Amino acid sequence: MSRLDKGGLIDRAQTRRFTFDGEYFEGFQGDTLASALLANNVKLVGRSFKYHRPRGIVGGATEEPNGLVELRSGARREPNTRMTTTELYDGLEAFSQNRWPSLDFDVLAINGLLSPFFGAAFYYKTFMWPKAAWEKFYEPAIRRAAGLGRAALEADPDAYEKSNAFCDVLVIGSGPAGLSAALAAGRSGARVILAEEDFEFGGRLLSERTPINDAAPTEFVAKTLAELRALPNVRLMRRTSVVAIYDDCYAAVERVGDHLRTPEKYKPRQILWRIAAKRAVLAAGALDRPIVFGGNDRPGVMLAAPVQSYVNRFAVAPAQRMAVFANNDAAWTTAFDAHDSGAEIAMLIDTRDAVAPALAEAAQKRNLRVILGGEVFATKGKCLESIEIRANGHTERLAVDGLAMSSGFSPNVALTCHHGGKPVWDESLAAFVPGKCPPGLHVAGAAAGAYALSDCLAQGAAKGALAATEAGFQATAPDTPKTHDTPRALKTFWHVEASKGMAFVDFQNDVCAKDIVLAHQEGFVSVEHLKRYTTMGMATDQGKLSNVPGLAIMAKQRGKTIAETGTTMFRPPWSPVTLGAFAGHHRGKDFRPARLTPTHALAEELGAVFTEAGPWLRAAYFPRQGETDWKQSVDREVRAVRENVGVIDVSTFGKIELQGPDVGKFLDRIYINTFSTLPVGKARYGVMLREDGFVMDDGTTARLSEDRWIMTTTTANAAKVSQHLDFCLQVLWPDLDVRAVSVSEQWGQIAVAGPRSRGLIAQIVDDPAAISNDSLPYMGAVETSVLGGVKARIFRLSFSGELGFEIAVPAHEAEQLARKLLETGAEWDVTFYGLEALAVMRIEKGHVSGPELNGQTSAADLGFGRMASTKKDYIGAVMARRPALTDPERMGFVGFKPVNPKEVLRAGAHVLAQGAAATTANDLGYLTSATVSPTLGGAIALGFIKGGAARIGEIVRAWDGVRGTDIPVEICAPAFYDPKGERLHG
Amino acid sequence: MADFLAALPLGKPLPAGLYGAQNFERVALCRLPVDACALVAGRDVAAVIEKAKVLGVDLCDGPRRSGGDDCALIGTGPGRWLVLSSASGLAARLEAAFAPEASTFEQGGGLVVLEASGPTLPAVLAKLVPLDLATFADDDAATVTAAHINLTLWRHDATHWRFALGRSYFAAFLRAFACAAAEYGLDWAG
Repeated sequence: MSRLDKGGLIDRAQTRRFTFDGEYFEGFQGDTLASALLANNVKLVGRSFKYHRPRGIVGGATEEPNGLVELRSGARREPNTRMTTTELYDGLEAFSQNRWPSLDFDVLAINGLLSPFFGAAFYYKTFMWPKAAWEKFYEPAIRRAAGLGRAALEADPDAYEKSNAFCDVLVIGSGPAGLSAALAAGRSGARVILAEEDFEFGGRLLSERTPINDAAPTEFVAKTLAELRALPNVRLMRRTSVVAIYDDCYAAVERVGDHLRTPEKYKPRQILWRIAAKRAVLAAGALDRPIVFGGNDRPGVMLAAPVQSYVNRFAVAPAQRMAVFANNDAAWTTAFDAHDSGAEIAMLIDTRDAVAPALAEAAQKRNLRVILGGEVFATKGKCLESIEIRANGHTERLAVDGLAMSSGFSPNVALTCHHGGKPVWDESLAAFVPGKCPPGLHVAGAAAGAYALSDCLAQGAAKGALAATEAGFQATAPDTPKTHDTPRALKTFWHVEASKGMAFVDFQNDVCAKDIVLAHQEGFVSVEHLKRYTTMGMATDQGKLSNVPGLAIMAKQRGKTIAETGTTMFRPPWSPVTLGAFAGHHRGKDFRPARLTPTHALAEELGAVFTEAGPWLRAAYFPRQGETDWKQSVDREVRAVRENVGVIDVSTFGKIELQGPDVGKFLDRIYINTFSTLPVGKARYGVMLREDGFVMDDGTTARLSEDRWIMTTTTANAAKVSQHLDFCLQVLWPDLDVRAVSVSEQWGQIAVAGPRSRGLIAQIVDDPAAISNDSLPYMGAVETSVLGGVKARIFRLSFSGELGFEIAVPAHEAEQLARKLLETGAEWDVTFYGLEALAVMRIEKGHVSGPELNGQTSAADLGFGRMASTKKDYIGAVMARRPALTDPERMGFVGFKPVNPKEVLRAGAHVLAQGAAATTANDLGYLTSATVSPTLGGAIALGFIKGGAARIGEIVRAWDGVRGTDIPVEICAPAFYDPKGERLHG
Repeated sequence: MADFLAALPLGKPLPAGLYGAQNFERVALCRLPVDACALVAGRDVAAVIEKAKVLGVDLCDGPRRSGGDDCALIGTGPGRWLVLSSASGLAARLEAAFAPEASTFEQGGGLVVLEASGPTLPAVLAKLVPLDLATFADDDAATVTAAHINLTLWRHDATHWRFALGRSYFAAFLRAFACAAAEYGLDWAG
């Protein structure tokens, strides 16, 4: 066991049992999976992405590139989970990934032997021929060989939620700067949220020993938290990662149940928070960086700061005998802490020729062997067994099983880049520090490059007070506690060029120093090109460790500074986010809210099969006993309407009521045709354009009284048209006295169609005379009552092409109306029909619908050119007269029927001339809607063709490359059924 | 989606009952029987506000509730109010009171009004509504999207919130609300 006898913030009274690759281990409450495995002397935890090299834990938190596991099993299996952020719980199951047959013996480790050939862009250069083999063979094979973990195949059984939080000051990170910032802001009375990614508050104070006010730093943490908890205006959120800054909010993921075997009943596993903060303080600290040298990826080689954390926080000595290799003072503190905890520090190797005398004395006091001006240039062992050191012209091999490395710290600037701000290189720190930050974001402490503990405490307090002040509170920075700073000197050093073996820059994507040199040689010198050519920084750790060393190597290749070389940007999210958290409640049945028609329950009773129409669930068809496929049901429903009478719920159409003296004038400006002349009691079909001249929507508008109108829109465009009308009234023409309100929810609308429809309606309308042909002619509208006093509006309209009526009643009465029609209609053999039959009939009739109103068609394209008034102006009129929209060669609306009536047409097919090759240049048009008409006994289709109606009678081809059909078709008029409209007037 | 919703059909509103955790912190939800209209002013909003005074209502042209339970006017936009009443004949009363300066549009057939209360209601609403409801005073209102569903909500009093939403979204809203309230428990009165 590498567990130290004493110390740490673990609870040794609470044992946690867990398995890794099926083997049982024990840890303690307060451990991470990483610390528990290290405590159990488990060094080998994974295999690398490309070369399948053995890998061990290298980091201590979100930056971990190697220690990725499949956590849990079955439906809860979660791949690529970082061991370093996984809180240990009883019964935890973890499995190594990307290895076969076992972690210890991985067959594909042979890739390592082939590594001289597997340089950057190897795949792109090698697997070029034959072209077809890339998709069929090369890519699948490469994907199998190189990869990460496996996602669960079953549906995730856990719940995820989204929630909103509001505050005056959001503090991100709870180290010395974050705690001080929260305290300063909290004391002012500002609403404060303190978000901490870890499961414990305290940040680096949990891992360091520097006293604060002459006490252990953890005492400062406890005392500060106690005060913050006592403030009612402060909310403390641990296990919460702030992952992104968007225009109006911060996004954070709270891991509510990740530290449990299964989430508590009724509690979510994770919550995606949208935090609206007036101001924020980023106090996310800094990450230690690796040195690039031969064999720096061997299990046992770790970053120095995490080693300090394992020793001090988790009471784990990551190795029996350890060396430290660094270019900075901070790593010496790690060596001292490890030594003082009882770990053996065999050697301290610093690339600098000299260090501060106090540092040297501290090492001497501990009897540590120090080599200055030295480099580690090679390592040996499957897990680290020895390192090779070069100093002052001599080389030495040292037997160690652990090496702590550090090339200095990188402030966590990722969030500062989320509004496009670019980090700025600070040569004195050898690090990127925040550049232009998102509005309202202040940066404090190590995240701003102020590493000294006293600076963190002071800056945090100052920035917390500033943020609260800017949010409108009177805040003052609290006094900075007494502390002393550990030395932080550093001399830039990145890469041991004379290394033996592969020197890794990006551990997760197996990018080596030689790959960067190659990228430079091949001209990929821009940082963005470097990233994509080598894949450096493109793994799930997003280059947290690799970015700066990689840029440094490229800069050297180019003979430029890092500042001149630049950096890639950090995009959201800061750390990986589970897809479930983004979905929240909206998955499965609740993917989006289901909108129900007023007659939904009745349709269910009648056995309807439902389909989604936007958010609506609509009855697609009503199968009856003996019908074996949907087409039989649909054909029966169509025949029933054509020959008898059918009923359908059309409540989904948008309905907008307009009142006021200027409605007629308003509609004249909205529609291409004139409405102001429409008599009371009549309805008219209208087409409205967008400003760019293309058709926005169509529908009928009826005049119910002198200044009261009701407009219908398509189902799809109901909200868009309502929004359009509001915009026109509020912005374009506020002088018009028009009051428009959506009444789509208010009115349930039932269409009754077929030659016997009037007879059926006469049974339910209170005044049958109101629906006589004289009282209610085609395109008439009347307000009356049904069912003995239920207010109703009846419109003589038809989408099916038959004699038809639409009866609107208050939505809560619509089901009753439908049931009455069903009951009364029994003797008429009434048929309820669905959306599919409606679609068939509108194609037969040649009515345009969604596939034709596709945003690319003008009124003229659709055959409505003559409807467009030339005597008035209307939205889109000018742009509709553009040459491109009046070109006679534009595609116009026509019908198509196959030359061989037995052929079946499908929407999406392209129209080609006979004998023409299927190329874009030869494309004449396309089919938008197609069906096999039960009325006409064959396939028919609607669509567009260059030249439009002028080509009626020509034979062309409907070529469908997706389904592999090529069918000769005749161009015809779009109205296949009752072209003169005689049945409408029946 | 919470487990307990998986077996319940989308096509019907949740039956009355207890959902989620069973504890004393649960949220209560019930449906209120009210008539509803939209009242929209013409160009002269001030005239409409003057007419309201005659009825004893200090009408606010903003996102607030004016009036009382017998006739509550909730601002939903400039010169627009959602009017709710527990009495019948609302449209006729509004027409008589406000025409021609404002027009009345019946909405009672298509609107559902719900009332929620309970100690954990703020936490439940935080999951649904992207607004800082802690800053709302009594009668403050907002027209907003909750779980992709449009609704108008207002703080009825210190412990009760009300929501008005389209009938077609009623079942979906109940599912979203029950899911949000699951960890505290929901007592849905139907």
